Amino acid sequence: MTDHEPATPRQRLWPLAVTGVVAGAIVVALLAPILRPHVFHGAVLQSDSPAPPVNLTTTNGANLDLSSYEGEVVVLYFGYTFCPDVCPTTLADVARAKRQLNSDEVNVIMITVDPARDTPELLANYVTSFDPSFLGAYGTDEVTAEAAALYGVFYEAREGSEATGYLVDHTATLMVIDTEGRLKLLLPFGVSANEIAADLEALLN
Amino acid sequence: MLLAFIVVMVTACGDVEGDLTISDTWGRPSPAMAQAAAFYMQISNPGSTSDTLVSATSPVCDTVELHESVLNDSQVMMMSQLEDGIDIAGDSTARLEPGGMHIMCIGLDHELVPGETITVQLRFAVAESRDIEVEIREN
Repeated sequence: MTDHEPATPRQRLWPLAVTGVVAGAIVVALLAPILRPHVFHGAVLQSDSPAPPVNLTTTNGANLDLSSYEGEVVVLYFGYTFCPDVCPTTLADVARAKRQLNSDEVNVIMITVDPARDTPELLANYVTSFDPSFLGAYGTDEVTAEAAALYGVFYEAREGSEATGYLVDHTATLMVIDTEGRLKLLLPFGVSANEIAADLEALLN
Repeated sequence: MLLAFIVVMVTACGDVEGDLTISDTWGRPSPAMAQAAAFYMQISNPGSTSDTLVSATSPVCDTVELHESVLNDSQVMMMSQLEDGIDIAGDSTARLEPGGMHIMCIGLDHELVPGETITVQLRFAVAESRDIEVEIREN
């Protein structure tokens, strides 16, 4: 057994260096959520032009003017009131996200792909039961088809049973317009209320 | 003595076949004037024999159908009626959940509000029919 030799300068510095690296790693790990850019939960678009205008009427009785929401976000959803599962699920999640954010700057509008059955009254009652601020929007078959095409939304009536009448297949994606009026984010069906809230918050800040 | 014998035989034969467990039965409140609502649940089949949920009825619905929402590869949601019912294979669970299979209540006789319970009768291919209580709640 050799005598213990006095530590060399390198041996003295080694533990210090290791501690420094570990401490640095911890600091970076803690700061990372703040330094890292927000990761959206859907497809992010980079459009220079404003979100396509549509020729629809809202359940407020006004023309839907998407350019009038500057400084706020707009969440568009194409659905219909006879839909018992997907549409209520989506709207309930968006409503929860809005409540979580406690923001007046989130405007949610459901455009009906079934204007034949969705009267303005039915539509208004439907959307406001998820949140009193929600609006519906409707128009003629032609105008509805135009709006859907502009947003890349597919919809088609399909024969159901005698009890249901026709059912409407439709793109179940949420279209989010940012505070500068540009179509910014497409959120797929299944995104949670928390994720929607996080994304809307990122767009508002 | 004979009674005891019978009791022992009956309890010994119990469970296994056709003893489905139905849990987490719920539905969303129906938006005012909505004509359709969806009910969700988990149906567990612990036995080895597969079974099928064939149909359902409820006093609050004009008609009840079994449906499935399916998202196709273009993010289009399509709902179709499961006319052959919902299979519950042996030793597995059929999950009726938002965005998937559900019991569709058509022609509601009143607006469903949170906190209320709806009775639904379920009919199976193998197991006996049974009544379940669906709790109306927000998620």
